[in-house]
Amino acid sequence: MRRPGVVIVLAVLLIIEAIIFGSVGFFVYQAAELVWAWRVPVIGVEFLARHVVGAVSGGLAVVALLTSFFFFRMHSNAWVVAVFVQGVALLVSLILYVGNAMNYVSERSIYGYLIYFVMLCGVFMVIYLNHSEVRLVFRVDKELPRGRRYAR
Amino acid sequence: MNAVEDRALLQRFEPIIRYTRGERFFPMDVEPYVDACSLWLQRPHEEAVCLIPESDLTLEDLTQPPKPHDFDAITFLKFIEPLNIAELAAYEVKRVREGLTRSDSERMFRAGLGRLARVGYVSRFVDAIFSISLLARGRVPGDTAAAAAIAYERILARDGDYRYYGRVLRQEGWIVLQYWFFYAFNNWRSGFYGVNDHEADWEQICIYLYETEEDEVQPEWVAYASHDFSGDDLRRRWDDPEVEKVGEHPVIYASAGSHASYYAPGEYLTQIEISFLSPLVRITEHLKQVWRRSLRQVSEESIPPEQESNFNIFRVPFVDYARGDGRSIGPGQEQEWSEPILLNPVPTWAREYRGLWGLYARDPISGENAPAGPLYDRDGTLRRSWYDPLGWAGLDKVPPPAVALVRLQGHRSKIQEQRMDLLSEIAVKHRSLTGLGLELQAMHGKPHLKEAYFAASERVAALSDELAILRAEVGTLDALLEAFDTQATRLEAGKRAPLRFHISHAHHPATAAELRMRRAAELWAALSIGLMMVAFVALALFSREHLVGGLVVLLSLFIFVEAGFRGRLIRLISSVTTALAVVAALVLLFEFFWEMVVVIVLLAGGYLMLENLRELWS
Repeated sequence: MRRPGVVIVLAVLLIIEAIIFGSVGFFVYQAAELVWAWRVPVIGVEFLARHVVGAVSGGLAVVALLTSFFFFRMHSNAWVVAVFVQGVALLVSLILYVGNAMNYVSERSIYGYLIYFVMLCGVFMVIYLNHSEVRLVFRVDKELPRGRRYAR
Repeated sequence: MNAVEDRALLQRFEPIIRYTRGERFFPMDVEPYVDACSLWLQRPHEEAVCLIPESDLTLEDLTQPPKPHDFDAITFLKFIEPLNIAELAAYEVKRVREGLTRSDSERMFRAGLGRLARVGYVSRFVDAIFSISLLARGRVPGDTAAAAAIAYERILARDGDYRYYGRVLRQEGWIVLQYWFFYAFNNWRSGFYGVNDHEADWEQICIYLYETEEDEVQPEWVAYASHDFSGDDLRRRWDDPEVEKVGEHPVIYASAGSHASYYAPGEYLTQIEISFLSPLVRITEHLKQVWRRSLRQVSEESIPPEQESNFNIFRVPFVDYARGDGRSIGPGQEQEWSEPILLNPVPTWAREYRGLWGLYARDPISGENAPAGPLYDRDGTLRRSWYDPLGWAGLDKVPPPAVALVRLQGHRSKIQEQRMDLLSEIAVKHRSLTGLGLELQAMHGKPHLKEAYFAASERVAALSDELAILRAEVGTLDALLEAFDTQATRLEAGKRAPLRFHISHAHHPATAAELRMRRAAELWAALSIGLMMVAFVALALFSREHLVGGLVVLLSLFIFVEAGFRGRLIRLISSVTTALAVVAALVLLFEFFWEMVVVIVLLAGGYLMLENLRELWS
């Protein structure tokens, strides 16, 4: 199966992103100084934010890795899953930013930069995933014929 | 042309109308309708007054209608009174019996995918506001449709006629055939889940003909009226495959209740704009343009321009059911037209009576108020489709094919003259400019002529700019003349413009794909708004400190489920992610503005060095 260059580049970027998410997740999960907790309304259970963020990052890392494999294979749903991964990553980082997570870390500490770094990766990946050639390869704007699992 | 020729021409091209099953009202003669009406006068802040009761009113009385002498007074006809409970019960029993026995299958209407299932949450909220507003504004009483159906059936049984009103006029080389259809009642709301009910309904289509060199009459365009729309989108060329024809008779698919005319059978999602929401409509249209064009969320190559959706979330959505599976009227159909009634010369009753042809419901949005006659709008002013049928369908800029080449050549001559005038002007200015140039050369270096030198330099610069503009105009005219020549060659060879080039938003029926997941989607559409309100109240009661966050989560969940039902999950994920990326980019810009400036400058500097070195080494 002939793969366009952009698809290979994106697959590699997704692997790198998986490594980043995995590292961030591991790093944040271990960070004892992050004591910020989230309380589930009504039920009243508390979760440490670092555990939640760490778990989400780990999950995203796994999904990103799998998606890069399906990108290589040019599976029809790879594009939307890749976009979904970026969306979740951006959403979590924006929630942390807006939810004053910055108040729980020292000014411009490594944890603050992690949030911005994840945002930057997400923005870059979204721009690249919306590249016209990628959209064309995965026929984002048109439906694939029924039963066709692969873009080419 | 005389009346006989007019009538013959109208009948030669008279349309075939296919109705939807369940339609109860069909085109009729106005005379028996008026005979069954009373004439009323409504002054502001007063009760309506009956001027001529039902038993006394005739069409003749409309030739000399009373003049209200008051700007805000409205005269209107009143067709029927609503049924009492016993009559309504008898009517409903009869309908149910008909439905059970299926003795008259054309009366059975089954709604398709509910209109609310076809649109999103904002549209449903807007619809909820519109529905609630019906309680506050004037509306046709609930049983009026049933009473009108009974009265109309009585008239039809007595007269048995299906009639249209025809008008033939010549305008700018075109022969325009107007077909007007009068219906006793519009029961779109009560019968087919539409926008409104109102007594009386006037609909029309136009066929545009031209005379060939052999004095043959040739149809070129048709335009079907649909609600209050006008312009290029209304018309189709006669040879457009979408214009279904039986011989020389165009086929109209009339929507149930509203009687709007469509070219193809199907269910049309149509939108009504409420005046106080118009600013929001404009804003969302503008944002949609930015989203699509600037952020490229929809590939422009994948959707032809005439299929780009005109849907707006702040317009109220309704469905026009124009299925064509009910009664057919026209040449060769189960029911035929009676002799058409000519509207030229204009009958006195049509010219003199400017009031409404049915009940004035005092609806400020006008949806429930009856229309005026074929000549007039509800406010008594002339309808555009009457005084300017060409402009109404956007044909005022299109010459008839027989004269297109001559007009093009005439216009070309005018452009050519313009060009010659410009060239003369350029020649004069050029001589002045060269003269000034020689002056500058002569004055150069002479201190005593310094002031004059600089003044002359300024004049040279100004004149040079003027010449540049004139020459650019000549260049444009040259290109235009070349385009004219190409067009003339095409016209001489009998080639025509693309069929749909004039259309920006064609109205399409819903596709089978859009009608999938019927029951589940309908149930969800019906319940979702109410569920959202209940969930909002529960949040407010039990977890007020998380109201905003909870609402966001709730809305997101609902939107996600909705997108799943409507097969738009991919688009939703893509759009939301893009929106998040935009927000994140703005956050980064805000937090790291100067760092970004530094990085950009460094990158730009590095790039420039690389390019210059590459040039040096090549």
